[in-house]
Amino acid sequence: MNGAIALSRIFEAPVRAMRRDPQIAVIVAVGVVIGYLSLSPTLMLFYGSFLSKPLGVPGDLTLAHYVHAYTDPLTYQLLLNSFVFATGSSILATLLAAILAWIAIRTNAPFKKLFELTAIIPNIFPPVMLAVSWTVLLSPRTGLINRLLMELFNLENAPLNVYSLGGMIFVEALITTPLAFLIVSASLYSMDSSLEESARVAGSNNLQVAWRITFPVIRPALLAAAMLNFVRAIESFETPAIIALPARIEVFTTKIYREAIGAFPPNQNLAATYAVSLLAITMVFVYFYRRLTVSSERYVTVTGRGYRPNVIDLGKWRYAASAVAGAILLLIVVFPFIVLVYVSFITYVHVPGVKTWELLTLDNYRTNLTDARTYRALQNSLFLAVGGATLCMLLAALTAWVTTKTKATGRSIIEALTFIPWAFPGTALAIGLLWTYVYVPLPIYGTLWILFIAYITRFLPYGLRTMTSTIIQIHDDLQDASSACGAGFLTTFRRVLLPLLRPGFIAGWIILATIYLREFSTSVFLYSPGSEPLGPLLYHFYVDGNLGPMCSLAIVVSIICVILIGVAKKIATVGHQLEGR
Amino acid sequence: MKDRIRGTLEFLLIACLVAALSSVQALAQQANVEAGKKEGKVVVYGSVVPQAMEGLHQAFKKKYGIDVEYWRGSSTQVSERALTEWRAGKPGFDVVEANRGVQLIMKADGLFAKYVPPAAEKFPSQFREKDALITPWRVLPISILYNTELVKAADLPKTFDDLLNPKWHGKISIPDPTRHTTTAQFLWNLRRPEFKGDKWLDYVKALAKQNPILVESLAPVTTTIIKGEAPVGVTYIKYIKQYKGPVTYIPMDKYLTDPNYLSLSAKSSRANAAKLYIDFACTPDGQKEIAEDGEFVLAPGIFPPIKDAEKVAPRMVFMDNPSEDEFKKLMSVTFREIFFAK
Repeated sequence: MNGAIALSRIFEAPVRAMRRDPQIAVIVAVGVVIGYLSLSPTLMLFYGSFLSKPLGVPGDLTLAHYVHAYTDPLTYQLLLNSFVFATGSSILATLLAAILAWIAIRTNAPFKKLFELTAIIPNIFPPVMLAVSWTVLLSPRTGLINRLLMELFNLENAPLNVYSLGGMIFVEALITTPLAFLIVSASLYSMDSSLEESARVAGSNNLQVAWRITFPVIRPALLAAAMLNFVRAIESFETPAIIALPARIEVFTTKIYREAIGAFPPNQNLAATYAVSLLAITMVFVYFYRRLTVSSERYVTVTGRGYRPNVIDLGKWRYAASAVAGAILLLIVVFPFIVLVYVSFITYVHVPGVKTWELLTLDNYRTNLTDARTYRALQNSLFLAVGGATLCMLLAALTAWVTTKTKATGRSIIEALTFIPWAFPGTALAIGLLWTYVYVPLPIYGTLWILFIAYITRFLPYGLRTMTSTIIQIHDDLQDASSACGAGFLTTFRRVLLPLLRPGFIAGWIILATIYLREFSTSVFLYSPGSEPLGPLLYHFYVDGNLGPMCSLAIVVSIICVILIGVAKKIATVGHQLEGR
Repeated sequence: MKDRIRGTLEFLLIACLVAALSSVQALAQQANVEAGKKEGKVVVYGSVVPQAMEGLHQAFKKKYGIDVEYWRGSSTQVSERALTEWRAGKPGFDVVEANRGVQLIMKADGLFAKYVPPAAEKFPSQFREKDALITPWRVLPISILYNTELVKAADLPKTFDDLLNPKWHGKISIPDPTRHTTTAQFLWNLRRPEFKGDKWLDYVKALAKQNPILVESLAPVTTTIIKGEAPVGVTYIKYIKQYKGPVTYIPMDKYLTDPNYLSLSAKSSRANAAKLYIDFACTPDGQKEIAEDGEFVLAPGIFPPIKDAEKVAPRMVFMDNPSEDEFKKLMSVTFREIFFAK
């Protein structure tokens, strides 16, 4: 009784303060939620890596898993493999993106607008599918490109082999090129072209201007893109899952998967140990990435000078530039898409020929329509995409507001906590959440809610990025005016801030919803039968050798992504019109 | 006199107790159909590819109106998931379907409840389990499968030894024995006298030198063969029916065979539906349904529509089961060194 009274006294003052000013309640709530989402999987991941017994079994603290991991020479091999894979793919992706962005944005190459649009299309494809497409194209014996090259040049052996470290680097680079393209193209759009003009006046030709002026100016963006792609690759599980096993190459994520799921018996402690190492690596790189980009991210939209970059006349070389951009797009969009369509309409994968006509079928699509497991996965993913993205964006909006528009004491702590999800690799986060919800007495383990929490945690930074850059443009006067008119915090947030935030909110929502619909590397560790989303289902189709249903489902997923984007944009337009009345 | 009366009373009491206990046990084993229907669904973790379970699940639903929520993984993944959920105190399954090796390990961890489905009484006696914790229901003979469009009749490998011919270098597909329990078990069983005996490990080393294409489990071996990535591979015969494409199997003198079992979760919240499911899978109707989809079953006289299937049955050699520690050593050490040596 005395304890209860003491407790109520402790909380009396803060509760009174919150009643007086709901803004404080919101700040506290945001702090608690962000703190919980960031810290619980991190701490439990560490706990799991130090626990002597398997998941769910009481045990003592031990260093044995670290000793085991770091006395195993294979660990150093996989460390090397991971670094070579991530470095190689990030350099290649940034190079391809830089070339493509320069041609599409700064030159007068024909079809440049089409190139710019096409470059972001892969964002609607499930990444697992892109890796599978390339195995169909570059498998050493039956790869379609290999077969073509062998026929054309009368070769006895296939010249290319996707099942190699080189193959993994190539495929991962193609998957991450669109991301690098977005970063580099934003930088090219916002750069001041007067420097280039000055160089040109001073007698430099196009190549000299590009090398001496454009390249140094956009170097921070290139570095940021390379660093982000490095992190994306080192935490990637999609490409290694499809290619590394047949190539007998082990990287961090395959090792975590092997220990947590793929091994017999599983060893989630060791998986947690490797995940801690991976988390440490990504934290270092994300820290440097954030230092590089944090100012440009925050203020990129408020420069307001409306630079219009000069278009560089390439003369007769413009056709060659188009050919180069077209070739890059063939690799990142056209080839994978053709393979998806082809495999989705045939009975089994084979080198196209006369018999292809006999093997054409709609069965793969029919299976998708009638299969209960597929139907359930579709429902689960749609729920996660729509519900998860909405909730995540609301949380992002509130967090961005707390960190940019208030002078609350703990806001720097909240800002620091958002760093953790930035750096958390999907595989490591999944292992952390597994350890969390086995022990937390909430009915979350084995349900769709664990995925819901995982998605919000992992992708909150994406929402924060769009909301922060939007919210920072809203002048404090609007908020003050609303308060002066007698509106409370909640009314101001709902009637003043949210409508102004709508463009950023919708943009962030679209990014999140399309990611959630295709998410794989976290889901594969966390889902349970019944709560299976599309990403793991696609992988299971692959593992079971059902490529036809897999490709047809991937096309359905891509179409749903496009529909989601269309609906979100429509909602934005209708909302705007309603406000105008 | 008193002693006789006391003796008689004691006898009657014991008899009543035995009768009561027997009937309780019998009742505990019987599924209540109405209760099962009310439970509405049964969650099954199994190793059969979903397309081969469709017929069985539709027939079960037609008979009892109970939905089947089916999750498929390799036997390794099924046991990993079931064990993890069990240890976490949150089992999501009512029935587990997997091979004997992993079923024994799960059984030792206490995952299963006793249940003898009436329909399984007619199965061959060699498959009767004394403790009634796992129920056999199908068998999976392993052979060499090949692509009928890519391998000429003259080149066909007739035995596992033929796979060591240099012409098959890089052209064989097998599951990764460091990740797939059944494959680890299969290679380990080559030590049996009918196969390689004491030289089994030499054979495994020679096979690894052939640089086989390693895949996740036995199912994708078939698609690797159909695609032509590997013209030959080692996997279950049944897949020639379950996957469309130019693939068939090599007839052999003996087939190492993997019996698979159904088990009832000891913490099932839908125990009646689960029992009905296990029983139905063992009835002639259930056995016919999965046999139609290529499975070799235990019900006498029922065969899959696979050429010479009835000749396969007498040549099956059932695999021995490594203990959990033996599995660990085989997968993490022995085969890892052999297949992943640089």
